[in-house]
Amino acid sequence: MQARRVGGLRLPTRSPLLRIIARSVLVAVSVTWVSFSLMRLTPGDPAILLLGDQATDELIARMREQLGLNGTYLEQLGRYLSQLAQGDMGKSVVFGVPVTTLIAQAVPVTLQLMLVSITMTVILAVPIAVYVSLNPKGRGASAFLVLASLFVSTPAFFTGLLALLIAAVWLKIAPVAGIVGNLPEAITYLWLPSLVIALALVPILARVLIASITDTLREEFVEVAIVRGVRGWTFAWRYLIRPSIAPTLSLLSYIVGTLFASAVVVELVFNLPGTGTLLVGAVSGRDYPLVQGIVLFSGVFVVVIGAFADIVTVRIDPRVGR
Amino acid sequence: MTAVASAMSLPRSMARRFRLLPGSARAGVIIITAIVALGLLVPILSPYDLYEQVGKANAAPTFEHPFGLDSLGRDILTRSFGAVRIDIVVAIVGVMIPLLIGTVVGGLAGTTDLRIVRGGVGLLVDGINAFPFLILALGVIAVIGTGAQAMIIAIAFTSWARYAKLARTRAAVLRDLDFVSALRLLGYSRARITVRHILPNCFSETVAYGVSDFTLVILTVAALSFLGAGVRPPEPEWGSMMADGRIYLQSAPWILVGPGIVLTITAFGVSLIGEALKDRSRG
Amino acid sequence: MAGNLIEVTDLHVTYRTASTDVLAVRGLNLTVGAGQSTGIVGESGSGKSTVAKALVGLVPPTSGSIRIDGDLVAGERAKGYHRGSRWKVQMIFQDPYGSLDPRQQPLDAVLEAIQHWRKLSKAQARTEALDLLKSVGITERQATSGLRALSGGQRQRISIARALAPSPQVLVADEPTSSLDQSAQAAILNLLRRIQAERGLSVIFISHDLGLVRYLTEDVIVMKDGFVVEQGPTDQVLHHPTQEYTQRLIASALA
Repeated sequence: MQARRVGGLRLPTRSPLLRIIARSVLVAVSVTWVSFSLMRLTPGDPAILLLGDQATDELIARMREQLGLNGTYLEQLGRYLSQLAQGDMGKSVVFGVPVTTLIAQAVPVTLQLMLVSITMTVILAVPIAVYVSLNPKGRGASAFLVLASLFVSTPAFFTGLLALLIAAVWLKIAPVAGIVGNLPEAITYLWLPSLVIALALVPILARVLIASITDTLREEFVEVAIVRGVRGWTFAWRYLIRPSIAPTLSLLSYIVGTLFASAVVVELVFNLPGTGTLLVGAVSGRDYPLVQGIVLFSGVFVVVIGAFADIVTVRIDPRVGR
Repeated sequence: MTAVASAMSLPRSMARRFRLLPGSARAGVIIITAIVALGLLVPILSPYDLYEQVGKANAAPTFEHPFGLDSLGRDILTRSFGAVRIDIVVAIVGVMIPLLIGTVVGGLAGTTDLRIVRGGVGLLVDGINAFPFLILALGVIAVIGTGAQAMIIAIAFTSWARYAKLARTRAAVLRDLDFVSALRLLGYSRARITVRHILPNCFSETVAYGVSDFTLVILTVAALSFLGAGVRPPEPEWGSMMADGRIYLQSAPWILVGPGIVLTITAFGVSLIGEALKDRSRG
Repeated sequence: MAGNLIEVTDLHVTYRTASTDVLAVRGLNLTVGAGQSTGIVGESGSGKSTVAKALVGLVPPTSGSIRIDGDLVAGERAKGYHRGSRWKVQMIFQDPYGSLDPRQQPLDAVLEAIQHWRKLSKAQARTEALDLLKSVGITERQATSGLRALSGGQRQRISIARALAPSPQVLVADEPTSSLDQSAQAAILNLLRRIQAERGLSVIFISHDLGLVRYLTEDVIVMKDGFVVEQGPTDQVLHHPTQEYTQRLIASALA
């Protein structure tokens, strides 16, 4: 259903796989156009903003060229796209190195942070969801509802700073900040920021799981299975977890988007040199090409993850794609 | 006569509506009312000024200063509640503007017969929605500058598309309903049917979403200011106050705890109301 | 030929879909005099609803022509309905839950229609709207409350009141009772019959049920797969059907 249309356009293909890919490519084009247009939202001239009004005309002209702001709108767009096709996102104004180099340095940190966060989220959310859906009237369920609202409403930078204060400063069970090396050793540095992100994500994932498990439990075949004596992990996998995979996947791009956004704040709090820290620095330094590059990367990343989730969903349940 | 009567019955009908709300939403209404009241009263009644030093910098909480003093020796309690005004106003405007724009654009795009417009708006909407909210908002701020107004523009630029998506879907369902045919047969113009019948129905959908979106916007406003991309000091604002507290995390953690708690309680109250309204509009 | 309220000549309607063309109506002729009523019956997919939509101008004919009160409203060189003819033909739809604006109070729906067609003071228009609603059995209290509390039958009454607001000469009713329960169905039929008599209204009554059609109309058209298979005075068709298809319809209506 979802994959059939992009905006109002109907894609002339029957293959669900092709349709998902075509749709994602179109959305990625739209994402690219939005990132491109972003820098052209300024009321003034970005080159003058960067150099100050005392700058010589020659300097300004050169800066405009560096920012890709010379020529007509269509020329600029054409140049942007052709450079992008060659893997060129321009040069950072502040660092003087290619944007792609900077992003490539930062991305591994963010990806590892996201990976640990997602893993923690799943590990925490699944048992909670199973417990709450099996005891929907219990005290645990009502506690979950209140706590879920509370955790969703707590800003990640508040949880992050409190976690830092308690775990790193008082209890000294985590390093104060920064990261050394990669996973798996880096888990020492990543577990606390990931836990902070997970606390905000667990309620979101758990709610979806609870809804889906509750729906499944209403089906007759589950009762039959209980009567037949299917128990334990087989039961949990077959009747609780497997039917919940599709609804969870449909949420994946939303979760990844949220993850990306909370990573910005959490990276800053924990001093992790990821894309978030890079972005915040670029925003305050008015490093337009770098900002544009990171924004574009985040959008395309979410689109790719969404496409991946759609493809897996279709594979699991071909009815969805039709 | 009717105006007077309806004005008289307004408090009563509000009271009745309040009683009809589920328990959690009632708690939310009480929380928000209390926060807004404190936000208006505390800066007036407090013996301390919002901007002036009243004691030693970074002083720990005492009976006179229950939340402690910040790095410039200002009373954190007064400033935490003083921040209610700017945060809530920015959040309200930051919800209302994109709600208005998104619903109208999405509603019109869902109603039009021009496939190019429908497809084009749909693609733009999907494109903007693909970005992580905070990241695109930061991108806009990088270009247009910081401050409350810039923050509202950044939020509006980013979130109108979510409303547009909802409105577009709703409008596409509505335009195929028989009542639209019936109104056409009555000789109403397209414009009239769209403006007086389709858009209001889109609004009832997006407004319910807007209330639950309010939580996200309040948190985003604080996050942007925390990152130095929003409201600038010395204006009291939760996020920027907490950014100040981050520097003194080890020596004076109370600097961030006060505003953090007020912010969380506010967002919590709003989310309780939002959840209830979302459940209702689904049911 | 003057004097005929509705004149349909050789009506054809074809729907184009991506894969095939659906020939929904394949040649229909119909004349209805002022105050006379005609039924159109057939199974679902017979094209009867398409005839209704073509009559009111919601679907353009592929060929043929439709005249209302002498005005050419559909066909070659026709300009469609305009302000001088639009009010003359109104329609009631099958689904009472989809035929009203979900956000509009019943009173406002009728009021809007009245004010669109007649210059009246607000108070006058309100009185007229309430009278009209009352004449279809809707109280002021029901008219000024939200739609949520109203049943299918009540909604259908409101649709009828709204359709009557411009004082039409023809009311096309497309299965107006088929999604209602038995008692609501009877009440709506009685209401239609009453307004038909009181206002000298022509009703084009579309149904799959020949029994209901007999109740409201003098003439009937029986349709199958877009073709007219039988046409004539309702009593005659009902008592002496010449086609096996019609006999089957009668049998299923009696059962």
